[in-house]
Amino acid sequence: MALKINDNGVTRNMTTDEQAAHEAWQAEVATQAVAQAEAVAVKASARAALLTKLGITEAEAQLLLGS
Amino acid sequence: MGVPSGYTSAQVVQAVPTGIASALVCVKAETAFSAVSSFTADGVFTSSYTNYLILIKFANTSDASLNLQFRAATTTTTTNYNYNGYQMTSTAAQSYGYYVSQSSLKLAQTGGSSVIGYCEANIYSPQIAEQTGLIATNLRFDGSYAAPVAQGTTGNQNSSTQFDGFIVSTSAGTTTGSYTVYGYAKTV
Repeated sequence: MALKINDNGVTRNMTTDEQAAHEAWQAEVATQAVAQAEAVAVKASARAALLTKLGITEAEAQLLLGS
Repeated sequence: MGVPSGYTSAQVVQAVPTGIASALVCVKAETAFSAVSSFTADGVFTSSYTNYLILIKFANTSDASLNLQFRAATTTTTTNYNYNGYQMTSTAAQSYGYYVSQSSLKLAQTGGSSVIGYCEANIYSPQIAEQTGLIATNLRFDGSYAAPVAQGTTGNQNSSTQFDGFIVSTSAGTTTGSYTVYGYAKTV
């Protein structure tokens, strides 16, 4: 299915090259979002493990760090 | 200034004194788009203005992002974008974290379900041979107009390319809405 682009005010079908570039970009954005979510999850997991090791709660950690 | 005979004060059109210029000048008239995957605006960044404001109204068919890329002579730059941002719901405030060396800048997140959202994006120095900056604020609604979500993005395109335009693309589905581009006057 041809995707649509509004090209400076005129809506038309994307060219083959434009659609290929758009779909490649969409795939890249999805990959980047997954990688970022994984990085955030790893950081959160490490934080939780450290709090457990220290024997304090998340709320207590925030009081200590002021965040 | 006196009121000419036969007129009321409300009917008098007063001339703008020489030297008084508008601070915000429309360089791209409000342009509507409907059910598209992307929209472009070329030839909007010129040496007449240093900084620009883009106002976008949008409604997406999917829960997705609207992403911005800059263009020079209709060629889209797809590298060296860096950004961070935030999202605030009713219960949580969350940082995006650093997104470095990306293929675009996240301009706005959309809630899907064709619910209307808004984005205001300030673009810094697109026509100057240095990094181009972005500071954007986005209001979106997730499925209901009673659930506003605040979002923002700060970032750049880190090259010395002198851009004259931009493309906004949706990461999924299509978008419908309109946009307008303004230049900030740089002289008094």
